[in-house]
Amino acid sequence: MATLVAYGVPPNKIKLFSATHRDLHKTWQLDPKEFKGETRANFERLFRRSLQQSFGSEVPDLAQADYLFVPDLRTISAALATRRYSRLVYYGHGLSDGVTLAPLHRIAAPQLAHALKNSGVQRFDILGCNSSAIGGLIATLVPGMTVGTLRGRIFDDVEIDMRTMKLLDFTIVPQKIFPLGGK
Amino acid sequence: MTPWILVALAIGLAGGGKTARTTNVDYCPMVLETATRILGPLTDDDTALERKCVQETASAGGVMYAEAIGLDPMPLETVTCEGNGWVVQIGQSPPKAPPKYVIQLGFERERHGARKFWAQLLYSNWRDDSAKGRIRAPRASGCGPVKGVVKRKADRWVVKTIPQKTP
Repeated sequence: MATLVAYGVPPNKIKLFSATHRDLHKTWQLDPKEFKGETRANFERLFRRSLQQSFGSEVPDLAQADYLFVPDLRTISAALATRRYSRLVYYGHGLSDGVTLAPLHRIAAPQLAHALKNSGVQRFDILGCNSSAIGGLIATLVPGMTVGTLRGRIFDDVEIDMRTMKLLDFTIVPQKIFPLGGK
Repeated sequence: MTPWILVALAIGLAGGGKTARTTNVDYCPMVLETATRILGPLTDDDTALERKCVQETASAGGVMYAEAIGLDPMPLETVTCEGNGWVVQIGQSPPKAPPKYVIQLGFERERHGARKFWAQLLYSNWRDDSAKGRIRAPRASGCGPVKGVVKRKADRWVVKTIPQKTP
């Protein structure tokens, strides 16, 4: 069975100053309204490469995985209903309340757990902020599924061309995934 | 030049009814107060830099490092401000901070005794990258960026951070 990588809009934001400490009055970020077309395609290309490099040994099927931008619960539920996946990887924001994923819009952990039940997903990895708390809750709500979480702080780098404001590189710092629950 | 002209010039330089412009001497209390007050618990609206995150990234030997930029006039020689667990460097070309990362405190021009500021985690060699027209920046949950306003109130500085949009 296949792997689905579901990702959100990266919340990276940088205010730009020149090397001579002049305020350039420019802030780079991936604007959710503009996260489509070439902008998203460029991000996904860099993201695929980086995820493979950083978590390829932990998630063996990443090279053949489907990648999908999932702004909300409806999108991820539809994807899980369309094709049978054995593994789901989430890369995106998670809120400090410990119960909410926020790829763009909020997804409450119980709502996602409901979508995951009977979906065929046996392993769900959360590569995002506050993954331990959110993963712990989902593991209790979907008892047969193993949930992978990070214990360290999620860390990624962006490299920006200050003139064109184009994303040149995106790098995820590798770390170990810890499993919770499952059979 | 007559003595009266000298007196008039002295009065003009002493104030002239406008808010006094921040001098180099004033920078340390302002930047240290800003660095101190931006630390706090992890928040979703980025109203604070999580102390633990800053300590894990932009610190060396138990000291947190920051660079203050955007100040005008900028001291030619590097000024080092120390206090509350911070070392904040200000200058046109300060030496690279010892840790891999540094907190960049960017200040806007002072208006009516207040300055908007922006605090973000950057690689401590960011000036080298910036000179090449690129910027490489890490994102770590809890390490901002944070924006706010620092305002002079009597003989002290008051720092207020501004909540940012949450998903």
